[in-house]
Amino acid sequence: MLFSEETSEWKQIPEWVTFLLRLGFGWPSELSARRRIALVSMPCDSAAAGLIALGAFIRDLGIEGTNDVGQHFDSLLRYAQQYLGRCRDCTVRCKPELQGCGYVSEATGRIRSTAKPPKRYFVEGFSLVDDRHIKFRNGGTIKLYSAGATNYYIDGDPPPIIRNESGALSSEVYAQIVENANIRRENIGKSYSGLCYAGRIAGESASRAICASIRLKVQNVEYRLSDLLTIHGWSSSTSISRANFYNTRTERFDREASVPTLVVADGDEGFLKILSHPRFQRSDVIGVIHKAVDRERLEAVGTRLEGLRQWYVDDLETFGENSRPPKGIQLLVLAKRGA
Amino acid sequence: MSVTASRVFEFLQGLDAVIVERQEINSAAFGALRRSTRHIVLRLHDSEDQEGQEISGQLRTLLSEWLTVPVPFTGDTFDAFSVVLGDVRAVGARWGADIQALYESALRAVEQLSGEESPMRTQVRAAIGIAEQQGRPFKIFCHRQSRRHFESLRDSNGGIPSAADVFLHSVRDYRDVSPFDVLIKVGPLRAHGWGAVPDALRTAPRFRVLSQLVWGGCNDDADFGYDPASLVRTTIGPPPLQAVVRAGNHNRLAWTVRVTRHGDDSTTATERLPEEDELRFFREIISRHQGRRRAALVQIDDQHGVLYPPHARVLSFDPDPSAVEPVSGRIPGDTLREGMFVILPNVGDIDLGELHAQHGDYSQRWKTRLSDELAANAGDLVRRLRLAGLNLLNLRSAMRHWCKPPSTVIHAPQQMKHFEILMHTLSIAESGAAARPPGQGAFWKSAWTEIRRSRGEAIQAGFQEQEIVEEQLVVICGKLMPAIRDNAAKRLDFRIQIPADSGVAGQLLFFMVCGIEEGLSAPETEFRVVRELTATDQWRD
Repeated sequence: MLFSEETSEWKQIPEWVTFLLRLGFGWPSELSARRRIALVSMPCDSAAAGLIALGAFIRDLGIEGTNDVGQHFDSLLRYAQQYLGRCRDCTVRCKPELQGCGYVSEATGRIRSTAKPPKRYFVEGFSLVDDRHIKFRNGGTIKLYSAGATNYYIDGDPPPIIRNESGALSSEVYAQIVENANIRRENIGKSYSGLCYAGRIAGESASRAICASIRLKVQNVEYRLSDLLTIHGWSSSTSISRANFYNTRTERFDREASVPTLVVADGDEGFLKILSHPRFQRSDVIGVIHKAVDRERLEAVGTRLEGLRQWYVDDLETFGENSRPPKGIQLLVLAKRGA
Repeated sequence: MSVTASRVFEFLQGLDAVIVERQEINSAAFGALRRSTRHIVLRLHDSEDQEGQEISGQLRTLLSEWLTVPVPFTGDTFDAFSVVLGDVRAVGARWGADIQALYESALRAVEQLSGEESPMRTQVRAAIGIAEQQGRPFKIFCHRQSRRHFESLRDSNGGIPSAADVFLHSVRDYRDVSPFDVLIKVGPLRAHGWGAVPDALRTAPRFRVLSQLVWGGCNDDADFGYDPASLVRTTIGPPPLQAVVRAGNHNRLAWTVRVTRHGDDSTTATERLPEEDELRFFREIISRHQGRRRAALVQIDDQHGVLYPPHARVLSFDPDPSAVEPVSGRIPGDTLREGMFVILPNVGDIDLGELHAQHGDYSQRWKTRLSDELAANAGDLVRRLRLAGLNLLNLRSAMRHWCKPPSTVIHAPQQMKHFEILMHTLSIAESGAAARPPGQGAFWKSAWTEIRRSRGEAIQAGFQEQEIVEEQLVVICGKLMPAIRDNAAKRLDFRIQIPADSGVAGQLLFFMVCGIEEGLSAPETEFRVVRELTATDQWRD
């Protein structure tokens, strides 16, 4: 496998890239009481957050049950409930923070089918008791039960599963990016929301651009980091998404999903936002910052971490060799006390 | 991203240790000037008299600049000192014999220094010469305003190349620079204030050698090189440099410090007192002040700037045609960058008659009167102003400055009460009454409104939330986009009238950003208005 950054020549994977990939890959995978928070400080602008996220992405591909299929019907039900109970009659399009409705984004009531050709439906009813179902229509009315839920998905979200092999991820590619990675075949065709990449404060375009600057060549085929992460709307090769995106600029999620087990935040401001966000209070968080920023911003991060130390302890030793970054990178890992 | 991460890591990997060549420079006469100035600053600062505080601030600024910039020992440099304090006897009469004695001592030192080559400049020139002789690419980190003092080091033997890429002025410049050999820095390593540099100089070096030139007594900040990821449990801040040197394992960068001392020994025992660290001392007395906030200075030309609170969302225009949101709230130094335009709204004025006045209409009249009176009998005008209560010590030179025609702003007294006294003393209120449109207030008030507006002071009658105004302004700017783009292509600053049917009355002032500096500390009242850089310098400690 070869590596290139922007338009530079192809070369072997450099040490700093390997370190970041392995940091993400070696991160504990279980959502547990022993929450961990890490800070990685970089000596230059880089796609470090994306690389850590890719490492964690490959880790998740090897873990049984890392997909959204099991919760998909519940997600559709919640969506129908939000649309019919709130958004359909809401006068504000769409500022949940102004409305104070408790939701993070608008439910438009639109549902899509995974079958070809894709068709759009509109939610018109649901039931949460006994005979749990959702009713939607496009011409006729369809009553959807749990068993058939993966044939439909929320318009604007990635589908939970793909129906043919051509849209699946390539296990060979991901297996070569991190040494000894074990990719489970059942995962390569299913979306997953347990990993969250919180982008740069400059917005989604800037986040995507920095990830696109990293290229990997596997078996003579070139891949960009922005494609490999399969963030919804970033990848042209697959419609599933195994990393959800949180836009720290607009403070919006790219989908309605359950709490992620790990959030990788790109930039000091994004890191601080994630640490304060109610939705991420149980998630592990890895923040990546640039050392060459104003002192005030560095101190804001330092003060936040210092405040956490009454509940957290240093936990570098858990990471073994991954706790020894190359020159220029500094790593701090905190783990919650007493768990 | 102008330098790739791979390039930076390749450089760091090949770096065994960063060498710090620290040159400490001493001069008996300059030391005497420092001591006298420091004592005057302290005593006037403690006087709790507004005028004393102002002079103290100005002297603090001067001495801070001398300690962090290779200024030449010439009349131009030291004249500013006499201009601030003025006549020796007047100082004695106003502030007492002890201040007068300190002032006289400082003036003796100035006389001794004037015309001599500054040893700091000698050493900076030598450092540049060595780097050039050895063919080692070098950079100079300095404040944008200090650059001329480095450029003036050029002599018959060469000196500073005129190419702009030798200089680094900001965190952003440093972030974008490719690795090089020698970094030249005058003054101590500090994260804030005069001579401030990014902490990344120590935590993420892009150079092999730091050639640091400091006046004796000026120490690096103990916590310089801050990295929140290297926190130890009980303290905030990295270990001191010596500790970093010892901790050269664990893939940490090692630092090696070599100190060389230069200086004259033609001093008496009294004059050989060890130098004090005035920069640290000034920071301590400044920190006693309450009510200041960290600030970022957005420089809009070579004489003016606007202060913003940290992380402020600054309404701004990006002239890049590919910008998705040309007008939006941006963070100075982050999303707000050089080449963009800051937008200062003057909205909500009720008096439409005043709103339609052109930039400088009122000032033209009072400036003409002021120039005439100065030319006719400056001494008498100064006497009358002092009698009326305008007690600025450097009044004569200040008035000459106020006579300058309007540029980015209208040059005028900083305080409204001083301006009112000036207008009454010039009797311009009475003579202008006939020319005022019916229904308008006193001339001086209209003229003061014009000055404030030129400084971008938002008048928000009828609006409770600045954010709501700005949201409306973004929409309005969208409609005015062709006119904004047209102006931005031709001018560095311009103003656009807000259409009457838009629901907001007023003007939008556009200023192109030519530099951004962080790490200042200023009172709330100084934010979001155009100020002269000489005035904002006092917030740099």
